[in-house]
Amino acid sequence: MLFDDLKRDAHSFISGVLQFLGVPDAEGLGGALPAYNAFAARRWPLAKFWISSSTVRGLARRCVPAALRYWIRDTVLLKRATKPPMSSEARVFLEEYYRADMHRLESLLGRRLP
Amino acid sequence: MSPIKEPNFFSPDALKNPHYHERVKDLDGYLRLFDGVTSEIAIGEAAATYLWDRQSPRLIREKIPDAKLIIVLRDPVERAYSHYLAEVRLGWQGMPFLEALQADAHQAQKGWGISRLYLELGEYSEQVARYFKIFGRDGSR
Repeated sequence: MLFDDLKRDAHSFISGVLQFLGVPDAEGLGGALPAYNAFAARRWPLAKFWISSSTVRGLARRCVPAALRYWIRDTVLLKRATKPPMSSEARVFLEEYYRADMHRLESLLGRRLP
Repeated sequence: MSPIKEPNFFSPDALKNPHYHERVKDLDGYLRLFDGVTSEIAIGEAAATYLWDRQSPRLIREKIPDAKLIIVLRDPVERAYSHYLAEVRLGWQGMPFLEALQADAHQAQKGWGISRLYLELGEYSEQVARYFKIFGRDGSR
């Protein structure tokens, strides 16, 4: 399944998943899906230390419930920000890098990719 | 769904990196994730590592032969950039994007938690083919 399909029509995408799983479809699914791991910037300069330190994260993982950890990360340490655009140079490099693999994937899936 | 978002139980490579992911190390721990199951039609879990790890399809097949697999593929160009931005956000990456891609591509050692895999994770055809080979086309979406 393609993430682009989910973005274009979440309800149809989820219906397809449920049908595949043999789960009855339900009204309202796929209406307004939250974006997880959306781009965010650090709220405080010191946030970098708290976020990037493997020791701090390891301790937090052992001592702090997951829901609270994610709240601290997403609310106290980070703030939602606009995703910076990719440079055209990087895009050209990546499109060229993946061109052959995308053709192989299209053959494998039997469909054109966006 | 499993209460741990990405148990990574079927990804031996991820299991080697204790600071990188939440992990479930043994079968008992894995089964405990589903202790609350009663009469659900379908139960499941998800991990990004399962697509990339060469051993995952075989290990899943061994433990859950009739598993139904859902693979969601993102435009690999956008995937690589989001991957990079996530690491910038976490303070793990400070180089400009193109420079980071090229530095990672030239890493001698590759692996989950060893190199960034910015490019490799988006090389989907071989990864998807591994699942089709082991589970068949009908077992995956």
